[in-house]
Amino acid sequence: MKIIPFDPDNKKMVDTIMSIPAFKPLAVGRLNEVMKMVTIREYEKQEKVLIQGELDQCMFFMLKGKLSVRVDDVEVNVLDKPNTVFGEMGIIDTAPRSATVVAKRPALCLALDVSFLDRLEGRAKLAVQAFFYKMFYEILVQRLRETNDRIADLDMQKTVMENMEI
Amino acid sequence: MPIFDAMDAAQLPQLLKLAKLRSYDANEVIMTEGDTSQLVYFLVQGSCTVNVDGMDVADLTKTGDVFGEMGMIDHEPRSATITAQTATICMVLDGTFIDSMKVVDKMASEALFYRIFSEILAARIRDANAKILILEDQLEDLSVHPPTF
Repeated sequence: MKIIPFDPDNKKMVDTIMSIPAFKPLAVGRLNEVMKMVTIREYEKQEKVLIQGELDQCMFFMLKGKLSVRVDDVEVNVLDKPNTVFGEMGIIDTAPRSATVVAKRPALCLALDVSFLDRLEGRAKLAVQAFFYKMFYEILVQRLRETNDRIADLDMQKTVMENMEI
Repeated sequence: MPIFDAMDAAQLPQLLKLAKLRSYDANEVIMTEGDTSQLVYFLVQGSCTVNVDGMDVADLTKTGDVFGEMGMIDHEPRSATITAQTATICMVLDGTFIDSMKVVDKMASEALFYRIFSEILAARIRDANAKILILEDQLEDLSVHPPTF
């Protein structure tokens, strides 16, 4: 994995980050402060982004590439849409990672290390915290809606199977 | 309520000015599935039933239990109906309450409240994921051992 340092003068890089929906509400002047918490990471094919069972406090936005989500070495999902969020439970949860994420193709991800939030100091602290916690809230609302839909779907399948005539 | 423990002495009175207390009779509907509203509810006293698609899925019985928090930002319809089981009192905040806090406190309030609500959501997602695992196991059992009639 190669870490690409944030360069505020690199317009393409700034535009890419600002095109992530979650970063849209951010005032451009705050980007430098926010980017202290963020690294841009480049992964080669077959390289692991997250490892099942490990502990960390990062969440990720996939900017480019294709990732395989694997539980006990079985692929359970493929992430290939730009700006897909993953690893978001790591921001609040201290539980070990529930899946391994591997690059199926070379991938570019933005990683957000939440442990930085508590270490921020000075005037920017509250503004950056407010921005990120609002972002987390919005991401988690979306995730909970998806999770609830999945439960409703499974419940329905279960009811159908229980009432199936053999 | 534990949820307000993290607030400082200046924030709490401001928040309470924005809050309203509502009382409900037993069996009265507090929130209706499908409605759009930005109100967030904190259970003060009493108990409630959470009902989705006509099925009771949970009970809310603890002071400080929160519901309606998903509607604070997005304007998606309510995903459940909440009904009072007994005479119930709720503290109700409009989801836009953070915008109504004094500007000087706004950032601090945003940081605090979105953190608190993110923690609530994370707990709900953990519970939901556990439920998914149970359902998946049950479905697998059903496909291996189908019910006989």
